Amino acid sequence: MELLDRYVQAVAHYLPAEQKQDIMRELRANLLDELESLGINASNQTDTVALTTFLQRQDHPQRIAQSYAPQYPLVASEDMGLYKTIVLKGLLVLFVYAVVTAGSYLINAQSVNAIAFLLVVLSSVWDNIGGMLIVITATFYLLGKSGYLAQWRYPSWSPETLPPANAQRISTSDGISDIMTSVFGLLLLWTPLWLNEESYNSLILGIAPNMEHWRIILTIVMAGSLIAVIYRLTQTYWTRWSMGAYITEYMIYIGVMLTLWSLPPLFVVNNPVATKLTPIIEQIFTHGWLFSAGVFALITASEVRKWRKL
Amino acid sequence: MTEERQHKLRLELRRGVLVLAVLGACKTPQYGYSLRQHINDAGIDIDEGTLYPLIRRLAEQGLLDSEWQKTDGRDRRYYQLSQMGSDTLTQLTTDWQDLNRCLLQILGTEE
Repeated sequence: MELLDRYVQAVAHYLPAEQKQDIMRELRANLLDELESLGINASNQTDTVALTTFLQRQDHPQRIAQSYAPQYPLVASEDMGLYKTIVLKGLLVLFVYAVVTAGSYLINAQSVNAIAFLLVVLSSVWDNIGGMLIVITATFYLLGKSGYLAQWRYPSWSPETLPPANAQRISTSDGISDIMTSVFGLLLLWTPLWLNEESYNSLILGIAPNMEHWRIILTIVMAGSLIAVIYRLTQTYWTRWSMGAYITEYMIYIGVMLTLWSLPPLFVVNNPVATKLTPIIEQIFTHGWLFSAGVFALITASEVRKWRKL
Repeated sequence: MTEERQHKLRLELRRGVLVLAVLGACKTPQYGYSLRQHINDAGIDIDEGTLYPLIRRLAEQGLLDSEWQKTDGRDRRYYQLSQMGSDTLTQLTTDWQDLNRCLLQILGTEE
């Protein structure tokens, strides 16, 4: 009998408290009936081997408990689509928050270190992703168990509102990298505003005094890019209009780069310690603008092909 | 098709029918083991791991009434069709007969 009671107790371990006693009593009664039909006496020591074989033939205690009192899953299979969408949106919010955190870190640290900026973004996402997943999963469990999720599972739709058959999804990861680039670029452009004098003077490069108006032009271009990318992140699919605007944005960048290539250097070496680097840096930027414009032109051509398919 | 896949398909096919079989068998009071014997004797092989939790679920849904009784010196929970269960059984039996007729026609085995 001890083996039988141990089995019933093992099942009870996985049962919800409010059903435990009732299921244990019924399971025990059923098992005793089954044993009796097989001619096994659970109280008899000589039947121990037969009892062991019988209990082994029953399922694992946890599976028996699950069949008597099924537990609601953390996320039901029919809610997985919604769950993935919410997690992706959550990740997006985390990345935006991380970019803001990284920007404020650079300001506090009085640094323009791009690697530090990237590391702060990644560590901020890493620090918060676990908490975000726990909160979303717990919310899904509670709302799913109480039946509230059903109304959001499949949003209302009609055939007219479905995306076109040739619809192309807007890449979230591209959007995130565009935000990071724009924020970091704006921070770099406006170092005189947030870097103290000592840190600012120690920077190797600065905008040439005769090119100061380009600070405003580049700010307008980058701020426009930032607004456009934030708008795109709220959209799921490209439209002819949104992709056209995206291509225009690239063409503006190409125009800016080609103009800067044809003008005197935008950046000059400010730090007297690094003046010997001036010819190298001038060469890098002269060729850099042209090279970047070429890369952007290739990307634009690829985007134009996509645009024509829309 | 693998034997395991075929076994799964047969289980799926029988799952819905088992409810009908249990409700039908509970027209008279039955405890777990006696119900299993009753169904097995009728030719439907059902293991205890499937049947016993199923009876409890049907009772929780109000389709079966249950009460504990002491018989042969042992506690046993007896289940019997409730009024709601009886109505459901009538409806499900009609559905089953209609479905069976349709299936026989589709399968081309109707007499």
